[in-house]
Amino acid sequence: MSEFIVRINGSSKQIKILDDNFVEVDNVKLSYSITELNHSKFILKINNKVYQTSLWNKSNGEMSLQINNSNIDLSIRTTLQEKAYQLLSASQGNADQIKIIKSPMPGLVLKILKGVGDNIIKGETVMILEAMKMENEIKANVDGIITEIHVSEGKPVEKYISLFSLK
Amino acid sequence: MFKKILIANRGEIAVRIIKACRELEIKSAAIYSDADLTSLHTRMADESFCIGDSAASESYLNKNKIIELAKSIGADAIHPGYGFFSENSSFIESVEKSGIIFIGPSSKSVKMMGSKTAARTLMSKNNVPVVPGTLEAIKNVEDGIKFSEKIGFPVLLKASAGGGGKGMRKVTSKEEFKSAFESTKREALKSFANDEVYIEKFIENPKHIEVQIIADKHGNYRHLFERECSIQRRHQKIIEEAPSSFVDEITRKKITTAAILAAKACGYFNAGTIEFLMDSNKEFYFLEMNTRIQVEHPVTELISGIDLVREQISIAAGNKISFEQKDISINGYALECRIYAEDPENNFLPSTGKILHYKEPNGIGVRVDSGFASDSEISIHYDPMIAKLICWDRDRNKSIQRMKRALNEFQIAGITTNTKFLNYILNTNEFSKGDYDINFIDTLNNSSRLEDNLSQNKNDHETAASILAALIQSKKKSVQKVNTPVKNNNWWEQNYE
Repeated sequence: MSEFIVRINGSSKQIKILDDNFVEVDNVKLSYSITELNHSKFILKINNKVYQTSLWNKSNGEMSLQINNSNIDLSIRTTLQEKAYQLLSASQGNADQIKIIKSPMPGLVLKILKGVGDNIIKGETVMILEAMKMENEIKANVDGIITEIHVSEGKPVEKYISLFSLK
Repeated sequence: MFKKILIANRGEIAVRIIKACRELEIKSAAIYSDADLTSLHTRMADESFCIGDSAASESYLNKNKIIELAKSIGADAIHPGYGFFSENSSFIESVEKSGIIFIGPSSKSVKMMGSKTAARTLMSKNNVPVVPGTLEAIKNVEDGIKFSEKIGFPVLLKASAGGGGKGMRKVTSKEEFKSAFESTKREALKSFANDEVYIEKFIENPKHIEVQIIADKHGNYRHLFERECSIQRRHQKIIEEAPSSFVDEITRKKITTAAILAAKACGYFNAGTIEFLMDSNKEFYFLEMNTRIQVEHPVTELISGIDLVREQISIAAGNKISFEQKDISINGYALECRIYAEDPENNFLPSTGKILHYKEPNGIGVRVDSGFASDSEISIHYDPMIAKLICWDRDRNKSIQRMKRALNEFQIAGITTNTKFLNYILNTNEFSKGDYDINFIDTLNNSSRLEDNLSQNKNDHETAASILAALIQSKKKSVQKVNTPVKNNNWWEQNYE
């Protein structure tokens, strides 16, 4: 039997694969069957509902999946990995945590609105990024004090690169 | 009729024009940038030519390259689509001089209507009501603030050469003016190569009503009723409908008459749209004229039965409009949703990448105009609109139901789109009653209702995703592959004998 912890947007689900026909989600037993159409597309049946699904990204326990008309990003760990992670983060709990604001898309840095040492509140605009002919406001997803700025105005950035480090 | 048309555009509108060319038995020639090799128009056209680098300025906005190409491949006409060069009078002038036909109005008409300030002056002379504001571009911040205080905040800053919702900003106070003025100028320069900005009084809670007109080179003018495009975000239309549920017969008569007056004032030929703002008393004001085919033209096609792109091409070739005003009437009700590559749950940031899975909805009364397919790449270089979903039915309620069904059937993976956000809007009471204005989406953003609804249906899908992830991770042998080749070609005999 394999057991996993799946996290989607901060909430988690416990998945136990019982056998080839049954699975338990948070201790609720469901029947399933899965058919692989090609290397990334699957037909998944849960109880009596059939879903058209695909896997479009997978790396280090992070996956991006399509379920009918929904696109879902999640992270997955085995229960063993989960326990190790819990122990590790508990021991680091008191150290200063570095928080990162990442670029949500590729674009051109038009204006950096905050400097090193600035106190940032979640939701505050920290940068203007130009993409698709629009000026997009990049908002902080965490609170903290800026310790480092990794990009400069007028330079292009790729998706998911670090823009600011915060403490 | 023409033999070969060069399509100086990309995305869904280029595909739309290719389809019209096919039906008219005209050869279509597409142009594409490096970033668009995988786009649908590149794959569909009879001939496709790479025109340059990904940046629009190096490709779709490279005037000389496009005209030289048209000459060298023997194209006798150029269709500009919308955006890019469609309303650029200097481009049109160069095309006119080259001896190639421009599928659109004359450069003269575009010049008269292209500058919003000049158009406002022309309209007030021709008895078409306009929004109060400056008739000329403002020179500096001080003048701008002075004028705004005179007509009273809030005001709207607009690019004189603007259109399509770009280069526009609302300013509610003196303090905001400077930064808004600068960024509007910046955006205007980048999008329209002209940084002139003017001021309009901000009309509180108006509806956006526009009239589709068409005119030929023989002085015939027709209107094809109105569209309502009040559902907008950041001044960008996202849902359009025809007819408007707000416009009654008397108002329709008045507004379509004003639209024809506007078109005549600039000696117009080609398909065109006169945009108006309408207040709660059904008073309307001229906003601008779009001298091109519009994104939302399909809703008018579905209620009138007229193929506007085919009509455009025929008119450019010198033919008369193919129908009389009395020949057309409003049949049923049509609705269009624009599918954008953006993430409604993350501040609507653009989403880029490769489309890994793509399945369009279909069925009775459902039309999809799309520029992309599976394995197409959505790049940062262009507009994030990837497709339009248009539904028709006999009345508004049925049409909305059909649209909701179709939106739920639309599957796009690899990038994030706004389909759930669109579905959410269609489900609001305000939308079903037709009780909304152009600020509707802003009022939604401030409430928590939006997030609640976006998460509807999410639970089932998240459970399915979790199970799928676990099965993939455990490499379960219970996964069955479908790879049985059919040995006997007469498979139906095996099944049905």
